Amino acid sequence: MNHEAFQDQLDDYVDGALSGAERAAMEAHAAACAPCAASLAQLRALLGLAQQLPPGAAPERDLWTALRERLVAAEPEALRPGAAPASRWWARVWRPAVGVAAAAAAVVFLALCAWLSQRGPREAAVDTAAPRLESTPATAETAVLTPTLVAALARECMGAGRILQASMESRNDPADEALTHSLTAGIEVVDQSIAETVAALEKNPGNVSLLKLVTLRYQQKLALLHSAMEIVEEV
Amino acid sequence: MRCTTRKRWSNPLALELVAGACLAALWAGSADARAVDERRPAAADARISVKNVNGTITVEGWSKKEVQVTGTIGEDVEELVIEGSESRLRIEVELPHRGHNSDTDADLQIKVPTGAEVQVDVVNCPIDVTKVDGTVELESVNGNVTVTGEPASVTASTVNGRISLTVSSKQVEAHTVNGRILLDGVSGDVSAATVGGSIEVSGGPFERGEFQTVSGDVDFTGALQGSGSFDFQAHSGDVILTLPANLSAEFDISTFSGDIDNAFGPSRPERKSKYGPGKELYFQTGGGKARVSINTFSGDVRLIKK
Repeated sequence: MNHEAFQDQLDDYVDGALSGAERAAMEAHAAACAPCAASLAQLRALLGLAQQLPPGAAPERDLWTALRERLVAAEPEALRPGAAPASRWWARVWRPAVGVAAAAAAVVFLALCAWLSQRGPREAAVDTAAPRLESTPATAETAVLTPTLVAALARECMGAGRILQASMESRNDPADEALTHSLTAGIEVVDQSIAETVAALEKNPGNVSLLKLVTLRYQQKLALLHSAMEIVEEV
Repeated sequence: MRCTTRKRWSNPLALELVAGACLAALWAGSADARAVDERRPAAADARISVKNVNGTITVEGWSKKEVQVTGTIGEDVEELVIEGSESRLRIEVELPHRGHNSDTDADLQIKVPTGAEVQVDVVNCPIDVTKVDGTVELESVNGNVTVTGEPASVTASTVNGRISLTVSSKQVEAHTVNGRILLDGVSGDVSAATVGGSIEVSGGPFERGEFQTVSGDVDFTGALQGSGSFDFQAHSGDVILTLPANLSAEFDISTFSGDIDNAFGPSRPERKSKYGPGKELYFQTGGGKARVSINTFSGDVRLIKK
């Protein structure tokens, strides 16, 4: 078995959908190939994280906080709040938050995508690398998961947005006015698009194409917020 | 070698004199800007990097193997650094680290060898680049970005501002949050993304394209090369493609609530599944070599024959 074949069958392997011989071939390859073994471990970890989300409703547990704790624990000492001051005053507020927010968002997003791709039909996966709308019937599970996915992504955006807003406000620099205005305007445009898509999704629960769209829009908003954080840090 | 255009505050007498001068300037209604006129030898393909916070940056290619920096820098500019070698030159406007500085504008006109590779990184500052044939990379936070000429490739981004590229480059990338993107004469591999602005593209032939907006329209005119891949995405903006009548392409179009108007073939989109997009249209024309994917949420899709 080569890397490509391993990667092709990875989803089915973790789903337990392979035959005995196929499973044995996968295990033999993973035992001899460190990168493929790492891929397998990563996918299992993401699935484990995603499975902590209760289906059908927004999770009661605060993912943001839980992930933040976990990620801060893994963060280098210098990036933690209270560590030695950074060269710029706002970086002390900003840098750890950026790292945590970005990483948390990425983990949640990947976990949710992985979850969807594992639990639903293959076509229902949110393909972030090449987003395409597909006319794929939703499974009952996909329909149930929609609010969970949306809620988790919305929370990530809210967290990142709050941090950005606090940072901009604490700077209180008149020179930031144009930048603040621009970023706010951009985020409002994306927010509007999210609101429209979510409204459509509420009327069409389980519509995979809308689910993909709303996921992409949230991802776009997160990217915008993180870019804004980087800009604020640099300016 | 560093430029000598630098403020020195170590002498208390000088400080008092400058303070007095500033008061006088304020009284007169403006602070004194300092003139800049510097030259450095540079290789024909030198890499020139420019950094500025406030003001304007204009870069122009010329036939000399030399870099010339002229213009003015504000009274509160700490230093204009010009250093490096003939093959790699750094031009950087440095501001004081502390204090509120009101006159930090640097308006610089920079001439570089035509074949130079130019990199500009600014904050509140428009960028204008002309007659440069090398690679051009431009980044602003707040300001328009304009390029004309024949650069090998252009990468331009700004948070707030228009990006206008009238270039014959075969590799172009443009990103903005708020602002239009205008790409004229481009060809080859082109990508553009904006949140609140529109994208207008004309030129070709295009080998690959990727265009994304949220609320703005995409207006694309040009020929698609066979086997090329083209992706258009908009949320509420319309996607309008004006393409040659003898086009060879395969189209995969979907929209949730927009309309599809197709001059190349079937015009009646279908809804294949209640879980899928509102309207879908798949068709081939002329053998279907290029692959075109168009997705919108509420924006209309129009395919027009040129």
